[in-house]
Amino acid sequence: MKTFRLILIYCLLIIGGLIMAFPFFWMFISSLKTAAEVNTTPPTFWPQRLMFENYVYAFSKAPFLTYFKNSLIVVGSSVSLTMLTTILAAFAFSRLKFPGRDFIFSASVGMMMVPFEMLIITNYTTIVKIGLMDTLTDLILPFTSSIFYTYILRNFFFSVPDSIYWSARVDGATNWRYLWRIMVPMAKPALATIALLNAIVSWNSFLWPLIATNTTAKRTLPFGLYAFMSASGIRYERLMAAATIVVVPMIILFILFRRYIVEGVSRGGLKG
Amino acid sequence: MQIVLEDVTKRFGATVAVDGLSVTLEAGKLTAVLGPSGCGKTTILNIISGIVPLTSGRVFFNDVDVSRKPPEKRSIGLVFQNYALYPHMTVLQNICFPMEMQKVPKRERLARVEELGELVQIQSLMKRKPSELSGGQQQRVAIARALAKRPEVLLLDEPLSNLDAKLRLGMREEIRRIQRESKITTVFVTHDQEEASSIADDVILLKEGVLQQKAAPRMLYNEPENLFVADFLGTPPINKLAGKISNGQILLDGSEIAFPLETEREMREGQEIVLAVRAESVFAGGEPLFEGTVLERYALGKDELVLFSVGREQQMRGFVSAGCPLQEGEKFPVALRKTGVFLFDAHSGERYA
Amino acid sequence: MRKSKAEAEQKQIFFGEPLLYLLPFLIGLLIFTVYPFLNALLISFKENYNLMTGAFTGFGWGSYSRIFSDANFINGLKNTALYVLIVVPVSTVLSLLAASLLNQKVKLSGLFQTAYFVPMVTSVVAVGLVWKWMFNYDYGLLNYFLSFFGLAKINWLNNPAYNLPALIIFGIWNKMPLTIILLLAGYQNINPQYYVAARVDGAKPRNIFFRITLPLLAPTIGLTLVVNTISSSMVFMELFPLFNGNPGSAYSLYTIVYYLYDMFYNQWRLGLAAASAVVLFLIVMVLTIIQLYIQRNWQNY
Ligand SMILES: Nc1ncnc2c1ncn2[C@@H]1O[C@H](COP(=O)(O)OP(=O)(O)OP(=O)(O)O)[C@@H](O)[C@H]1O
Ligand SMILES: [Mg+2]
Repeated sequence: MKTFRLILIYCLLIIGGLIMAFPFFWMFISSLKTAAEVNTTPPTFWPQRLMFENYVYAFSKAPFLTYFKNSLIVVGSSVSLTMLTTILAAFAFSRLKFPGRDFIFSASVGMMMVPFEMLIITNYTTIVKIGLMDTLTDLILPFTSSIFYTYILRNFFFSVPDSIYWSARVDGATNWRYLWRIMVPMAKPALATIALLNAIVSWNSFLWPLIATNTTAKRTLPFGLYAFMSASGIRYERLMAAATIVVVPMIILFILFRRYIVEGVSRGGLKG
Repeated sequence: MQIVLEDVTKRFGATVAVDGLSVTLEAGKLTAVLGPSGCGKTTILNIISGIVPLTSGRVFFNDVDVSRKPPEKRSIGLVFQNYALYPHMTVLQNICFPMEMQKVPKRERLARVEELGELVQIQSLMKRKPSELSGGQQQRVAIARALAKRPEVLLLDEPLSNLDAKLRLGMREEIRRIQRESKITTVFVTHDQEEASSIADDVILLKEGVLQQKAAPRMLYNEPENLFVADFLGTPPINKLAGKISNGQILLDGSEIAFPLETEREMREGQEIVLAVRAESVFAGGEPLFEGTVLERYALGKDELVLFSVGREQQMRGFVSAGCPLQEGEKFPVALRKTGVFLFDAHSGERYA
Repeated sequence: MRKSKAEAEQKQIFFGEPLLYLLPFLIGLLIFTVYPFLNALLISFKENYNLMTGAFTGFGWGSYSRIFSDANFINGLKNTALYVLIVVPVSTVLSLLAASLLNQKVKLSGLFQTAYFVPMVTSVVAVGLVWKWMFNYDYGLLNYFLSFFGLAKINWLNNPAYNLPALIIFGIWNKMPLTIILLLAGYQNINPQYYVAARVDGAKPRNIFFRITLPLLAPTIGLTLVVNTISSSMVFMELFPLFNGNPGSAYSLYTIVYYLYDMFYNQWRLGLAAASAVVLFLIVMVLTIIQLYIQRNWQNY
């Protein structure tokens, strides 16, 4: 009875896992097929000949290397800037005392309800007016202050006992030194979680690049992929190769840091 | 360094944590701050360290008013109840941190760590993280870190309360030894009267933020200034017999027992009093004041105690020797010694004898 | 109560400092969140607003009355509601099943978790293209599977009647990972003593699930329902890979956010874009308040 139940659980788990992960398998398999093999019935579940040329084609027909580089720059800078503003603000909100602290904090948290789509109208004008339209900077700047991450980090900072802070102060540390020598090293797991969530959201960002860039040279991967589809027509083996390029870095990130990511998501959900 | 608190008051909203406290802590001595939970011990320590700003009053270190100096400028070392070691740093880094903040050169730092490691005996633990240490070891590291920058005052907030009973005794002696060797002015917060008595040169006893008495432990035990002090110290707790003054004599409630007692001050006829008697000040025979009936006999450590009734309503405890033949239910004559017997006003707690 | 001089002075030491720590965060927040939010509210009431010059002809409810008489917006509301009403419950039920499986003590749980969760971290555009390929009429996998059961091929992406179902299937798959994670966290918050007690009392597994697990999980389920309702109300990006950036093959699959985007980006009618944004905001706000309410009650467990 017990083994039967266990077998059933494994079967269901495997079936479910296959369904959830299947599109990724299919994407990868299709990306290695020839054009003829892609369009055959019944479909084949393993390529007859490995067509790595599809990847070569994608890289040669569209500047995926540039997209990749842009994505890395945008993700790298926006994650580091966001971490910086988040650490400083979370520290002020959790440890420093000043008039209006709780009001400013609650008001900020209230702003979390505003959907990003509502902001693009004005942000677009702002970007144009300060002359940043179609630059990588404009892909970074609007996302350097995250209420959500500040909120999470503030809660973590709150959980650090007062006695640690006062020990450090008595030991002669200023607030600034305390923050960087004690608080930040202690918050490493929380910071890693935040950085990972932020990197995922930033890497996959599509709407803002669609609106705020208009030349090929400034595109990031998801928008680049979409543009590639519009430009080079529907050739699924090539599209799948391009999609694989976009998806693989995040899959690797997820496999490496699954614990952090799942932990972070279960605490607050994935938000921009 | 001598620490003087001058009319120090601290309010948190409506609660008065410390109320008009004026006291002097002698240089080079170990002073214990003692009192029940919530009486303001931690608050006093935090006022001395500068963590908690004063509501009113002043704090002097050797005639220098430090009331407005932030903690880092007060030359103090602080050990919290939970030790507050930096969890991401090794023992070595923890101890070095205060010196790093003072920009002490690395060679000097390491020499000092060596010295402190020897003093608190943690030489072999330098590479470990706090999570890999036992409570007692963490405690030593915390003391070493507090002493690292050669503070003039060492403040300890219930440093032993997280340790098990046996370790507590050992660490108590250890702290005493470290204090003697370093001759640093030390303030030690505790709610354990026995701990305070065994470790301190002086004890400050508090109740609800108000100073009750400051004296050497012996003094506090032998000459309590009020009922609270008498009651707070001693194991088993002091016997308290309620009564009143009747015809110039003490008449115990619920009995016809009456006897005279010499007082320093005049007493009113009918004044309600408490006669407080230490358990070791009770004995059988001699010149008995009244008769007691043994209710129970039990052991307390190596000693034996009898619980006996006094009149119809009251009870008290007394030590007896192991060879004493008293049995439960037996009546015996009760006498009191000259020491360890006090008379207090029942309402104000003031001492009359 | 009057603060003493000493207290005030000690505070003053730290006074200017907090602002320096907050400034980088606040500047970004004010420029790119607070200001655009207020501005969108304002624009929604301006008549004939020109985004670049800032010119407008007066204040009024014009934009609102126009969007509510615009068939595309009404269509967007309807599609969004339908999408939410199907995607949210279905993905919740499936996720509940998956979470209760993943919650079992099994070997290789890391591998299973990876398989179940990975859609969450991958680009909607990229995986949307895969689904587009699987929805393909002639050679798509889905139609191939339908043929197993003797069913006719479906023109998922080019027959307007099947556009919404396609979007919904993709949506369910896409929403599941987050839902599973939240539910799994809910599972792990249940005190195992309840189960021990139930087993001691001789309860059967089925009874345990319905009498203990489900009630204790109810707040988490409530939470996932709201979280998913909020994110599903913003369905939009999925249209790009599936329908080449159009609202369905016959322009009949508008959603609220697509309408907003369309008015802003394609039609340049900013009053309407802003008004639809405000409507979206109000929907999100109401849902968030419900979410907070659930979370507060959750603390009681
Ligand atoms: N930050 C604060 N805000 C409000 N009230 C406080 C604060 N700190 C202490 N109090 C109050 O002041 C009083 C004294 O507190 P304190 O911590 O000094 O007591 P304590 O003697 O150290 O007690 P314990 O033995 O439990 O540590 C208590 O009534 C406490 O509730
Ligand atoms: Mg305390």
